[in-house]
Amino acid sequence: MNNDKVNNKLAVYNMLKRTAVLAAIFSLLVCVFFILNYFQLKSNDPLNSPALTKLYADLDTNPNDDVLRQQIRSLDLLARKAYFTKQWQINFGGYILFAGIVVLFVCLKLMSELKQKTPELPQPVTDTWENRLLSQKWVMFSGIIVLSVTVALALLTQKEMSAASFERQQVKKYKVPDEKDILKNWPYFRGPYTIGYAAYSNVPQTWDGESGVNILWKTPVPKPGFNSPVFWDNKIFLSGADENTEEVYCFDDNSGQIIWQRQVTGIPGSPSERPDVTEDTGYAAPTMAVDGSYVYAVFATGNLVCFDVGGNKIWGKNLGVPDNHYGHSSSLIVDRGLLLIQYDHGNGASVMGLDAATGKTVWQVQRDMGITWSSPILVNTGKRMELILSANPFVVSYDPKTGNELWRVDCMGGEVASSPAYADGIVYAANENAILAAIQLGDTPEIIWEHEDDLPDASSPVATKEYLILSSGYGAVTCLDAKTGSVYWLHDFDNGFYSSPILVGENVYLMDLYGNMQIFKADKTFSLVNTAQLGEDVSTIPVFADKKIFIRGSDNLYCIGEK
Amino acid sequence: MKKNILFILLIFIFITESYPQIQRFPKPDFESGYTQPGPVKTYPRSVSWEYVDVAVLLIALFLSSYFALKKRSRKYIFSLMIFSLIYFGFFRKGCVCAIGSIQNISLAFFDKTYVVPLVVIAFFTLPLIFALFFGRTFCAGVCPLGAIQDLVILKPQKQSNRLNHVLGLIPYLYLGLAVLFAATGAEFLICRYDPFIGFFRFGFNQNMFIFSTAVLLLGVFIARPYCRFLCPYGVLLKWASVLSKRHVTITPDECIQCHLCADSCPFDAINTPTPERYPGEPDKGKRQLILLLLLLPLMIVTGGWAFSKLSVPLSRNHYIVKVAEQIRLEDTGQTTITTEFSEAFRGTGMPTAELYNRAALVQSRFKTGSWILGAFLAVVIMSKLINLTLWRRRLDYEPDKGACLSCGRCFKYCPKEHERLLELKGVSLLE
Amino acid sequence: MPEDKSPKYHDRRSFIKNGLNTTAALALGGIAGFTITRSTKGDMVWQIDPDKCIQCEKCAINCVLYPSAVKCVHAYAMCGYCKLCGGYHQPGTKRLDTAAESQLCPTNAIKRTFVENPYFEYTIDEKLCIGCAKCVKGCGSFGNGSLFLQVRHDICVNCNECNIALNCPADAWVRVPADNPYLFRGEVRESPTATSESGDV
Repeated sequence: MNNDKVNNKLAVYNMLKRTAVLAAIFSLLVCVFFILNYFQLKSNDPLNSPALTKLYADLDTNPNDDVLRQQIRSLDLLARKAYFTKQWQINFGGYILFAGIVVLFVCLKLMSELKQKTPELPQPVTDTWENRLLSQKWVMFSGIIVLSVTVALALLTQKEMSAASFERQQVKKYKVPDEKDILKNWPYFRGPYTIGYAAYSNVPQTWDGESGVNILWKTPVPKPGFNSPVFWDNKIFLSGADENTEEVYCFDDNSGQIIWQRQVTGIPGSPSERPDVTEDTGYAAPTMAVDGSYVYAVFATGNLVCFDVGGNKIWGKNLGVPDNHYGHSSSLIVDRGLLLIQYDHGNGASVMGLDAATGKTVWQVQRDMGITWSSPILVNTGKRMELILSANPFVVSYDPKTGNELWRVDCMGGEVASSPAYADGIVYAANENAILAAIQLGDTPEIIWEHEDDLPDASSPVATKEYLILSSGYGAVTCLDAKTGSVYWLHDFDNGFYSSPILVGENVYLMDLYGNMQIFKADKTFSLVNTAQLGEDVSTIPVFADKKIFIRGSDNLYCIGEK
Repeated sequence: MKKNILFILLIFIFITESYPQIQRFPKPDFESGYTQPGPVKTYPRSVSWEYVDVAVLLIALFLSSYFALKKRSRKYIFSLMIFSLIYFGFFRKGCVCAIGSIQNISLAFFDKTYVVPLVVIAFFTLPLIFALFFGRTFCAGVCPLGAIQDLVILKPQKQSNRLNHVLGLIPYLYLGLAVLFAATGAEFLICRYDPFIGFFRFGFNQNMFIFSTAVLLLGVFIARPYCRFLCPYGVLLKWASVLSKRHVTITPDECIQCHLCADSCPFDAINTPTPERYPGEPDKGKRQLILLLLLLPLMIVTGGWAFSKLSVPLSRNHYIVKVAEQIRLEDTGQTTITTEFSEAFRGTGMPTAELYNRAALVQSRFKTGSWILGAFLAVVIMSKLINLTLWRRRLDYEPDKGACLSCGRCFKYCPKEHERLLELKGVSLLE
Repeated sequence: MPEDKSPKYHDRRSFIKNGLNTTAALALGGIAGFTITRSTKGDMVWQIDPDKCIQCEKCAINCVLYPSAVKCVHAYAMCGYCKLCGGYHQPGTKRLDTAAESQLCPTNAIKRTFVENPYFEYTIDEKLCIGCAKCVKGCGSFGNGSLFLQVRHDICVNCNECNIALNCPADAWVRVPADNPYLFRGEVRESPTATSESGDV
C-alpha cells in the first residue's frame, strides 16, 4: 500500500520532470526564435527594403515602365505581408513564451514540493562578534571602492567634462531699437532710411588710397563678398563666403581690427552642395542688417543666420536653397523686431517677416514674380509704413507688420536688380531693358511719368523732392526732375557703377567700379565737387557715419576720416 | 470688459501659436453635400478605474497584514500574492507601481509645472503607512514585482552575512540616483530599468530582454534578488518597517530556542541569538564607535565632494544638456555631422544662448544633487558601520525587522506554531 | 523571561522607537501633503505636441507595444483635399492613382476616396498604421500639415516613463490630463508646453 503510494509519487515526479524538460526546451526555442526574429527585423526591415527603394528610384527615371510598376506592386505586397506576419509572430510568440515559462515553473515547483524531505535539524547559529567585524570590513572596503572609483572617474574624465560643462552667460535680451538710434547708425544696405540717404554730412570729401591721405585704417577681409558693410555703435559688420564656408565678421571702427569672426555652421537644412553662382554675384551678395541687439546675414545657399552683436549665435535656418542663376542677392531689413526678406527665386518666390529674436516665421506671402536681385525699401508714406519691392513684372507694396499687400503696379520687366527709390510720395522703380517709372502714391497709385534712357542695372537710383539721380552700368549719370521726368543733365563718367548714389547733405557720393568716388552736387546743373581715389575695385555701397566713411573694396575694408 | 479683451487677446496668441505654418491650400467649398468627418478621439480608461486600483491596493495591503500578523498563514499570503501578480502585474501592466512612484513624487517636489495624479501619491504613501504599522507586508503579498520573483524561488542559496551587507548597499545608491535623475527632470531610471515590466506586458524593450531573463533566472538561486539588492522602494519600506508598531514574528508564542527555523528564511532575514556577554574588550568597541562618529562629518564632506565631481557626466542624461552639447560641437565647428536632436532644436528657434543657460541651470542642479547623493551614501555606509559596532543582546531567533518581507515561510518551522494550529483545531496538547 | 532587560531600559527603547515612528508618519504625511498641492484628481497621460514633432520615425520603433500606440491622425478641418497629396503620394509620382507604386504609406494605411472634382478625402486606417510618420512629413512639407502623430489612448498602456519620450529628439512628448488627452492641430488649446518634462522650475 505504502509502496504503491511511493511508486505513484515517483511516477508523478517523473512525469513532471519530463514536462518541465519539454517546457524548458520549448521556451528556449521560442526565446531563440524571438531573438532571431528581432535581429532579422533590425537588419532587414521589410518596410524599408533596399530592393523596393531601388525600384522606386528606377521608376523615377522610367515613369512609363509598366513591368517595373508590376514589380513594385508585387514586392510591396510581399513586404507588407512579411511585416504583418512578423508583427503577429512577435505578439503571439510573447504569449507562447509566457505559457511555456509558466508550465516550466509550475512543474519545478510541484517537483520540489514532492521531493521535500524532512529538513535536517539546522546547526544552532549565533551572531558572533567575529562575524560582525568581518561584515564591517567588507562594508568599509566597498565604501572605499565606491569612493575611489568615483574619484578615479572624476579625474579621468576631468578634461573632457570641463569642456562639457555649461556656464550661465549673460545674454543680451533682444530689444527693438529706437528710431533715434537707427538714424545714428547705418543698419541697412542703403542706409538708415533704406533709400540712399546718409544721416551725416560731416564726412571727408578728399582721400587717396595710394598715398594714404585721410585713410584711417585698412583691414583685409578674409573672404570675398559683394555685400556692403553695415554699422552700429562702433562696430562694422559684413559677411564673406566662398564655395566651402560662409562667415560673418565684426570690425572695430577705431582700430579696424576684427573683433569677431564666425563661421556659419549647424544650420538645419543647409545644402551639402552649394548652388552655382556667377563670379560677379558670389556666395555672399546680400547685405546684412543690424538692429543693435542682433545682426542678420543671408547667403546664396539660403542659409540665414543671426548673431548677437557680441558674436554669439542666436539662431539660424535655411530658407530653402534659392533657384537663382546668378546667386541670391536681396538684402535684409529689420524693422521693429521683424526681419523682412525678399526671397524671389525660381522655385516659389515669396516675401516674409521673421521674428528677429527667434527666427520664427511671422508671416510669409507667396509672390507671382520672376527671380529678382533687387532689395526692398521700407518707407513712411505719410500715413503708414510700406515695404516696397520691385520685381518682374510688378512693383508691390506690403504692410511690413502683417505682409498684407497694399498695392501693386505693373511696370517692371527683365532681370530686376535695381532697388526702388522714394521721395515725397513718389516711388521710382527702374531697371535696365525695362523702364523707369515714377509711381505717385495715393488711393490708387499710378504712373505719372516714365523714362527710358541710361537706366541702372545693378545700382539703384536716389531721389529727393526735386531730383532723381540714376547711374548706369556703363558710367552714365542722369539727373531728372523728380516731378516731371524731364532731364536736367546727363554726364558720362569713364567707369560704370554697381554701387548706388548716396545723398550726403547736398552732395551725392557715387562710387564707380574702380574705386573712384565721384562727389557731385544734387542740383539742376552738373558740378563735380571732387573725385577721391581708393585704388581698389569697389562694387559695394559705403557706410556714412559720424565723420567717417567705411568702404568695402574687393579685398579690404577701409575707414576714411580726417586725420 | 477688460477681462474679456484680455481673454480674446490670449486666444489670439494661442491660435497664432498653434498655426506655425501657413495654410498652403485653402479649405475647399464642397458642392456635393459632403460632410466633413470630425476628429476621431479615443480615450483612456475612465478615471474611476484609477480609484478602483487604489481600493484594490488598500484592500490587498490590509489583507496581507492580516494574513501575516493575525492569521499567520503562508497559504493565504501566497494566494493574495498570486492575485496581486495578476491584477497589478498582468492586468494593470505594472504601471503605476509604488516603486516607480518615488520618481513622480521627487519630480513633483522640484518641478512646479509637473502635476502628479492623486493615485500615484496613494501608491507611494499607502504601503509605507502600512509598513509603519505592520512591517513590509506590501512586499509579501501586494507587490507584483516581488510576486513574480517569489514564484521562481526554487533552490535558494544562503549568502554570507558580509555579502548581504555589501549587496544591501546597492539599493541606497539606486534610490539616490533615481531621485537625482527624477528631481532634475532627466529621466525615470527605475522605470527604464524595471526588469519585470516586459513580462507584464508580454513585450520587451529589446535591450532589456536579456537583463530581465537574467534577473529571473538568478531568482531561482538567490531569492528575490531585485527586492533585496536593487529595489529602491525597499529602502523606504525597510526604514518604516524597522520602526513598525507591530511586526511578524516567527513564533506565535515565546521562542524556545529550538533553532528549527534557522534555515527557513530564503532571504537571510532571521537574526540569531547573540552570545551572553559583550565580546572582547568593551573599551575597544566604544573607541571604535567614537571614532566612527567623529569620522562621520568628514566622510559626508568627502562623499559629497567626490560625487559632485561626477555631476557633469551624470547631467548628460538630461535632454537639455544632451542637446546643448551637440549644438556647441556644431557651432564651434568641432563636428559637421548634425543629429536629429540638434536639427529639432534649431527648428524651435530658441536662441542658442538660452539653451546654454538652461543647460547650465540643469548642471548646477545636478551639482547640488550629486553632492547630496554623495553625502547620503556616506551617511548610509557610516550608519551601517556604526550599526555593526553596536552590540545588542539578543536571546531569541527573530525576524530582522528591516529585511523581513513578512512572507510567512518560517511559520511552519516553529513547533509552537504547530501547537497553536492544533489548539485552533481544538486538540489539546496537554493531555 | 529576558531578565537582564530591565523594564526601564525597555521602556526607553520603545519610547524612542515610538517617537521615531510618529516622526516618520508625520514626514510621510508632509510629503503626501505637499505633493497633493501639486496634484490632479485625474490621471496624466502622454501625448505628442505636433508642432514640435520632427517625424523622425522613432515613435514607430521605440514603443513598448508592437505595433506602436502612436498613430497618424487626420484633422479634416485643416485638409485641403488635394488631388496630389504630399502625405499620400510617393514623391515624384507621375500618376495620381491608388496603385501601390504611387503610395507613400508602407502599410497601405491611408485610404483615398473621391469626393467631388477635384477633391479627395484621405482616411487613416489605424489598424494598419505603424506610426512611421512618413505621411506626416509629406503633408507637412507640401501640404497643410493636417496629418500628424498622436498617441491613441485606447491602445497606450501609459508607462510611467514612456520609452518613446525618452528617445524623442525633439522633446515633443508632454504629459496631458487624461480627460483631454489630445493635442490636435487646428484646435485652440492652452499653452502646449505647460507640462513639458524639461524640468523648468
